[in-house]
Amino acid sequence: MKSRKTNLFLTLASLSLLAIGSGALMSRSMVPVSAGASRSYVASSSSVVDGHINTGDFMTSGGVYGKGNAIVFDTSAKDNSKIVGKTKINNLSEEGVIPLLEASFTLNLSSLAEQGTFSFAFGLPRINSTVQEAGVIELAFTLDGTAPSYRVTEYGDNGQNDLLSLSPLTGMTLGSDTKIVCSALNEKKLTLTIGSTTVLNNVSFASSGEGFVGFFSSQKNVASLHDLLIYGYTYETPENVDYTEYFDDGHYNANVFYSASQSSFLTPSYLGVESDASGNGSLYFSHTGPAYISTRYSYSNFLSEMEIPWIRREAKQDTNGNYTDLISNWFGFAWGVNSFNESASETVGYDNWIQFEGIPVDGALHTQDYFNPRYVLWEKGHAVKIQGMNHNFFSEKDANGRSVFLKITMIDGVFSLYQRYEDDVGYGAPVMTYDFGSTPLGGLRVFTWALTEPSSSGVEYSGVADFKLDNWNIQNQEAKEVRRVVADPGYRENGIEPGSDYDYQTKTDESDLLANRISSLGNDSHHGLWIGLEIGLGVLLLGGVGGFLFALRHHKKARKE
Amino acid sequence: MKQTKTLTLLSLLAALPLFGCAKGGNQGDPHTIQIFAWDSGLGTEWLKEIVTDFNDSQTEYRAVLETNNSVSTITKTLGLGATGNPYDLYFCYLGSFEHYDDFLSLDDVYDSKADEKENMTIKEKLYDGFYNAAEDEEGNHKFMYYGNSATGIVYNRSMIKDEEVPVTTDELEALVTNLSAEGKTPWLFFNEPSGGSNGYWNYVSDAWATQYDGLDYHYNKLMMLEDDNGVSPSKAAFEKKDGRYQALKVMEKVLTPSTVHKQCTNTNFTTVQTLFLNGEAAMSINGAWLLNENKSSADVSMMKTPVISSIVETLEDKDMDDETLAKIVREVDEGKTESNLCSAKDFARIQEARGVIVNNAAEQYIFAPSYSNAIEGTKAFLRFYSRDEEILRYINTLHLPATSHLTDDSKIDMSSYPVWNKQAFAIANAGKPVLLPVRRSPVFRQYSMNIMNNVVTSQSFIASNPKDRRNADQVWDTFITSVEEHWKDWTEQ
Repeated sequence: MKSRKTNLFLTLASLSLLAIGSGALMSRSMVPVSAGASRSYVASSSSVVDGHINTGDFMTSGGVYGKGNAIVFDTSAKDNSKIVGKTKINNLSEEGVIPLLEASFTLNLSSLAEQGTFSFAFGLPRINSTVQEAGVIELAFTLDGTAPSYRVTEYGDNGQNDLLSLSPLTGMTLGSDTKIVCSALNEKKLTLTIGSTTVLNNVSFASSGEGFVGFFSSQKNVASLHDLLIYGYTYETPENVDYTEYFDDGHYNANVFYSASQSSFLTPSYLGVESDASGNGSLYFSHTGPAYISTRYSYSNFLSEMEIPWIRREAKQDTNGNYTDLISNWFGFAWGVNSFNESASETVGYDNWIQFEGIPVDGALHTQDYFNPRYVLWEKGHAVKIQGMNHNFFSEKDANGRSVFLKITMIDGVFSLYQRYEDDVGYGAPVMTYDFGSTPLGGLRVFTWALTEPSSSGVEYSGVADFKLDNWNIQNQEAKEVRRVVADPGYRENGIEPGSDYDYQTKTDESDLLANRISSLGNDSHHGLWIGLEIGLGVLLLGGVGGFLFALRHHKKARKE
Repeated sequence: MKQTKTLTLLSLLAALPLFGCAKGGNQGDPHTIQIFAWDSGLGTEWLKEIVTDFNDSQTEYRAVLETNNSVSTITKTLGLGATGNPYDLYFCYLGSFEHYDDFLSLDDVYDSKADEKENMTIKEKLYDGFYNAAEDEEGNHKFMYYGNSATGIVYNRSMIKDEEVPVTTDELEALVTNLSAEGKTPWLFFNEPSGGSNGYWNYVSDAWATQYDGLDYHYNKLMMLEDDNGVSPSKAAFEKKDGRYQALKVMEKVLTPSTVHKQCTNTNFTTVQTLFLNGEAAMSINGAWLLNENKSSADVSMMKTPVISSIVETLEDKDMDDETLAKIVREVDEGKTESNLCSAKDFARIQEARGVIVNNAAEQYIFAPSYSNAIEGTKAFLRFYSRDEEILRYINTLHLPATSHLTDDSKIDMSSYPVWNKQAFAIANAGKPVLLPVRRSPVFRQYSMNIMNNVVTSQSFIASNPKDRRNADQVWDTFITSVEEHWKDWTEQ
């Protein structure tokens, strides 16, 4: 029964294993982050804005203040002043995470007071710890006599250890901006660059490095900090399944997936599993408006691979010239989906997803190839990367009837897309990559947000989904030490499930049509319009019926007379 | 052509009486009270029982209850007006006051006894604040309330010990930092992209604003948009950088991308509530209805809203440190009426602030159209509804306080109630609830606007993308910009 698919998937599985194997090797040896990690920001570009130090990010004391995008320590401050990040840095070595801390900032140290010290420190056990507590690692600027100097010191239970002994300033001068970059790994290695000089390179330290990060000034030093970017990592490991859905025998596993759709104006309009006589099937987005299939499980790091065995690449007209089929609308793949049954419009506005856009949904002809097929990468309603399609698989000229295979990975905040036709040998390099910096937790979803009614420009300008999905393979890609995979999710045939209500608007602006639709999310004004239309329609229908009966009676009466 | 037009006109004319006659129920019968009730977090089981009791007690009137979980479905029947609306009595949220003039004054119900055997009027049995909140500009009371739902910060007791519950916002900030450092997620709340209640955060931020400004300012200045010269509505009053800004500053301190659960972008509030009740985060914002709505017995509780630490700016002792403030708040909780840590005036301010808890009763109105022909029956029902026995029905079904006390509250047996429900009664009995008053500026009433003009607050602080994230100053600026943009529209029509 499954011979074709079995063979196909054995090939796919082999390729996947190779890819996963190489990916795993890469993540261990080449990529400095391991599975499941997301950045956890101590400070970012939103931490100091227009002189406002974000109090969610920092605790300040002693008269530290903000000016423009800078944090300022000056002579108006108390002798001991500080600013400490409120987000704790975690050592996630047990979870297989390699980096501990990344910190970069620009320091302008104008003057150092006699016996004064200006410090950057991490590993503070508590938010109100002092610099000299056990576990703290301090980069300190001070005067050696009258000469500006610096040292790097680690404090322990049994005293202190200089990782870098007191040395004259190199790589920076007082009163000028100097970029400082500090990278620490969970395996207790520290690299420190001041200006263009690497002053510590993979130097070992003893503590875990876990704790808070801050800047401290003793005495009346004058310094400012800007362009702060400091982050550590968090780790999430949802329990989920490794699963391949073949859509055979007319069903999918409703223990793992959930689907819903809304009709378009073309027929037949449905989202359902179709199987051939031998039971081989696929999920058919047949002339759908908004429609989706989601995982019921949440994923953090994942690999997802799917086949698009067929997609409508040519429009058709009936003998009267009316369009019965249009080149398919775009579809997307989303991750971090908040709930398996959220509407397609919510996914568009609030999740992360990749859009495969052969033709824009509204206002562009769906009867011919579009000049600018593209991938659009979305993060919570913002297009973060737009790139022309590697191969336009919405075009028959390019695809020539071939199946398309898509592989998407999300590993430690890094998105990668691979694409190939069925007769290509392997995927090769990813066609698109992007570092989101964090891995959202949530479901996976294949979806479309097509039109329910024709575009005001005309039927031929309207996006209606018309494609098939098959062999959807999903794999948990967390670190082996922490991954939690359900051995057997069981099997439950899907039934007919109702489509959900959608907030829906049609826009005709030809600039960035999807962005326009996103901007209208949450606008409920059309609810009132619909109620009005319903009432209006009711009036017209009732009136029509009444009028018809009245006219009929009048006509009969007239005939009688 | 002319014939077609005539037929179309006739069709439309013919439709009007058909539509106008689309009345249902028993509107024609003055002895039948058609009740339409919103099936929300409080459910309607208690009301069904009261209706049954009423009908069993009656020979003259009969109540018929219809429920729906859609507010708009219920309230759009008001638009049918005197000739089309079959309903005589509503238990429902009311976002718009468009039909307020059509409502019946319930003053004679308030002033009467629910039962001749009782020694108090219905008005006298109410918890503090409810009667005043229902009073309109003309002194009429056209609303009663059926929910007495305190709102605030709810917490998982397995993650926050009772002795760790903060009493000031600085203590709350420290708790959030500690939870986060321990690897626990401090917050989980839902996303309302259009602002709305900001995932219920408005309940807490309004409380902090009122604590800072005081109840008198809240009701008589802010809610009336009255400036220092007595001008109302006043744009300057709306834009005054008062306790609302202080509340934003607290939110900025405790809400960051690192202190919230990733599902805080989820717009489905029931999903988020379920995750919270499953222990995925330490705290959320919710109301007394939480466990009933989720059919849950999770071990959660609601803390009295911590006193905003910046209240010291309004005290005589402006240098009071937070440790001292917290000690005084704890003295208030112990029932003390004075403190040797502060002046009597400062103690009174702190005591008032500690009692400020936003109550969302204004989302649970009882009202009746004045054009109903079952007005006497409706009033009879409302008196019956206010009897001790029926209040007990409500309490025993929901295990939550009603809007009325019993003539003797000792009849309430809470011995088997979980902590959540006991706390709901404790909060209801402490201090004065802050209710959305009927008597408020038309700018608020006509445009369904809250005191921050419905701007997005909570989500602004937690946006994971730095370019989308806002601080308190930026959120305030957004609010000011929105007021500047719309003020003329609001006041010149």
